Amino acid sequence: MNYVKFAALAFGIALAGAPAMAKDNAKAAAAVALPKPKPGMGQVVLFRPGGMGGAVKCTVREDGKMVGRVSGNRFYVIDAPAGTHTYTTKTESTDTVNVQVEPDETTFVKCKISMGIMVGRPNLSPSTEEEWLKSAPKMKPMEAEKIAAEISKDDSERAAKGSAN
Amino acid sequence: MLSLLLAAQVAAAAPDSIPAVPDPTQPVAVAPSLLKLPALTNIRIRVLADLASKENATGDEFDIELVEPIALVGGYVVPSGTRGRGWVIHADKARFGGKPGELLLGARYLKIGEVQIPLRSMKIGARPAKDNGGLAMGMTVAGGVVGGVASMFVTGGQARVATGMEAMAKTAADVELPVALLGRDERSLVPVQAVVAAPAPAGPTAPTTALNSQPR
Repeated sequence: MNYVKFAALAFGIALAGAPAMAKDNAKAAAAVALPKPKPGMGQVVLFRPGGMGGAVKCTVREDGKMVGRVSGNRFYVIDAPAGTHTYTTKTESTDTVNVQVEPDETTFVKCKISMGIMVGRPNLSPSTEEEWLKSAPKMKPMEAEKIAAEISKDDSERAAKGSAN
Repeated sequence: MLSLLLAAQVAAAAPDSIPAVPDPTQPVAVAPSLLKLPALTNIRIRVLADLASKENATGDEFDIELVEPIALVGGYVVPSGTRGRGWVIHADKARFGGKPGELLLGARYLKIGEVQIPLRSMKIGARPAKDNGGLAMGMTVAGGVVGGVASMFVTGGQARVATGMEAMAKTAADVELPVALLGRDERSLVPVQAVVAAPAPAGPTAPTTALNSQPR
């Protein structure tokens, strides 16, 4: 009789937990779902696989303008017109990557942090969808509103610097 | 009398007894002079150069060729072996600290006669170079400062693409190809997204041909 009660209790717990687990799985799947590029545009998925230098953020610029920022196990989608784009990131060293953005396609760029003297050195490199998919289960999007605010603030600071010079 | 009537009927039914007068409103079969190769047609190409992140720089160009013929309607093909050009979108040498070499290639065009077929979306089957970043960091953690210095001399692998490496690409725009420059495939390849370019209509009653009525 006790065995039956225990089995019923276990079954009940499993049933109660199932929706939560399903919700978590759905949340994880939703977290890695990438948007489609805007019509006629391409997009660049900037992602930062975890590992070393987790505290170091990878701030990416194009022609000096901040276009995105990722921390460990995060990604950010940059809308970009078709053509060649040169992205740069800098901590104690600077690294650059050139990518070709195609209309209606997604291009992947990976930012990794390797050992530096004072702070991690960023490495921006071209990546692939396959590589992205390997990292995707651990990835979460950067908060778009927060990044937009940071980009806006950066633009203002750059403008102030420009007018001061 | 009966034989005369029969002879008259036979003579009336004989087509060659009526003088041939061309009817401008009737369809006329015209061989197309141009065939349209649509944008976004998948093609397989081959790199005809040895490329390495250590030796090549962004902007370098190299030869490519078409591996498999592109089938068009009517048994016409863009023949395999059609040459073109690719370019190095990004090249960066392997560096101290375990940063691997990086090489990103793009396809520019295939050229058939004087006509360029613009290409895009090149995806090569090359494996990424070995990433030794983790190893370098491991040495730093294990050996402290000495390990950190030592790790600066660990380099990632150079990215290399050898001659003959194959890749996929897509045509970047619709292109009209002169039939005179195309090859023929008598094995009647199944047309893949190929469309015949219609000759310019002469007027509202321009004849339509069997060829230019192919589905678009």
